[in-house]
Amino acid sequence: MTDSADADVLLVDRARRGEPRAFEMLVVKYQRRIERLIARMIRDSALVEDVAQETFIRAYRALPQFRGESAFYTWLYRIAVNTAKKALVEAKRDLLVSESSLVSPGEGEEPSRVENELSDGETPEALLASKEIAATVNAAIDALSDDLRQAIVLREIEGLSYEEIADVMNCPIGTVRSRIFRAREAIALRLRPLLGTHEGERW
Amino acid sequence: MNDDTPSSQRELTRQCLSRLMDGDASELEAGCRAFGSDAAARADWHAYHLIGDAMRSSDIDASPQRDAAFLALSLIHI
Repeated sequence: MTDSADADVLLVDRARRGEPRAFEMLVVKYQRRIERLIARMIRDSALVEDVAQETFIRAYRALPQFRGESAFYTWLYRIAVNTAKKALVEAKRDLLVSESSLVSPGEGEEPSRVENELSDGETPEALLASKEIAATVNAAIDALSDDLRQAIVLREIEGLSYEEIADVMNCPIGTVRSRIFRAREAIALRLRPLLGTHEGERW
Repeated sequence: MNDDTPSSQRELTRQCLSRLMDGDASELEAGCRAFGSDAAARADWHAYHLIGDAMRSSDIDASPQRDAAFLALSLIHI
């Protein structure tokens, strides 16, 4: 019990039994990781987003076939990589088509998708927002007591289960659970003003 | 609706989500229900996962508006 892959099993089973909300929770969990994975293959950030979107849609539709032989996240990563490869192949094909239909340079055509891929589409605002979030989280972690910091680092960076952390920190599992929660809340407190939570707004 | 939520209930929901994200099966029912019915719970689930992602990487772009738009687009197909 209580490691990330096991946590996924709970939500995946529920999603497979026909509760889309459980899948939404997995989307929120993995969206950024999937985007980061795809961004290493595709440079256009708009295309990265499209491919990430398509990854989750394909994963949802393929859920009935997922039998849990691999961890959910490796299955999801495989779908992401395949979807990204497919998008790259299609983009190259588009380039070949558009090149053959070029009249002459300087006719005001939009750059091809592959050209967009080759340039970095990330806006300065997005980069600043990322860095601010990372800096805020780091500062919040530095401000934690040693016990809370150790617990959250072992959980989120080392991926240890509650049992393993209890072993490392030589304390009861209940204490681990409590420390991790208190660490998350202390960090979230500093993070929420940045996120501007939309209470009451439907997603 | 969320302004009327007593802070102890808010706290209980947050604990529930924190445990659920670490694999506590006993919190599955309550956690999913909270996520489905409560925007603040969705924001907490997002914030808690964002913390982990931020810790594991040097920078990430993750405003809830952007993530919410992403999720909304997914929902058309889910």
